[in-house]
Amino acid sequence: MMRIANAIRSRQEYSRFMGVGTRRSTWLWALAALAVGVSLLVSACGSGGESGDQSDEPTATGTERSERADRQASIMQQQDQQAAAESEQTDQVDASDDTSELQANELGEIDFGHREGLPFIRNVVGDPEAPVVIVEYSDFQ
Amino acid sequence: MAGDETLFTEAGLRRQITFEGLNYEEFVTCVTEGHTFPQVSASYDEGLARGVLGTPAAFVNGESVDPTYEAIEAAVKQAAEESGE
Repeated sequence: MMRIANAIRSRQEYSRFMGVGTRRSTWLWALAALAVGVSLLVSACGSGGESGDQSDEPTATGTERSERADRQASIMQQQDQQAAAESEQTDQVDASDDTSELQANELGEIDFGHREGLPFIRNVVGDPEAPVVIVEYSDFQ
Repeated sequence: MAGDETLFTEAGLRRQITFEGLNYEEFVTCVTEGHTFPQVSASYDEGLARGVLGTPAAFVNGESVDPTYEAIEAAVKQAAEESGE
């Protein structure tokens, strides 16, 4: 009788233990499942944003994006500078064209203009007060 | 061109002047009226004063130089160094 009582008691305790244990196990499984779900959700969100770049390293992709943006900014800046330089050069050429036409006085004599990009006054090309002046006497042949 | 005797006819001059891109009537007017004669005369007198006896003759900063590329280049470099440019 004592043995049966002990057995029942043991079974009750066992059942009680098992019951509690089952509840504890259920909670543990629920927590584990929740943890796995959260981790899957986090990984899905993390990889979803990088899917277009086809890269496994979000940090490297960010660096590439930054470098690409820097390169694009640099190219745009160079294009702007080149366009500004070309515009300035065009303006200078236009101005040179304006003064390169031989300008004559009322007697029809050519007074001044440009030759080879240098200003001239009659038969003097360049600055008459330049540090080095070359004078040549020649015949027109 | 110096041996082309037909050049020194009116037709030859007209042909050559037109070939050079000039207007023949304007050229004749310029020559006959002599508007540029004072300039040519002044340049001629200046050459005589420098001792020019023939052409070509070259000067670099007033110094007579052999009218060859090498001599003029050397004289220009020397003049540039002396002027500090």
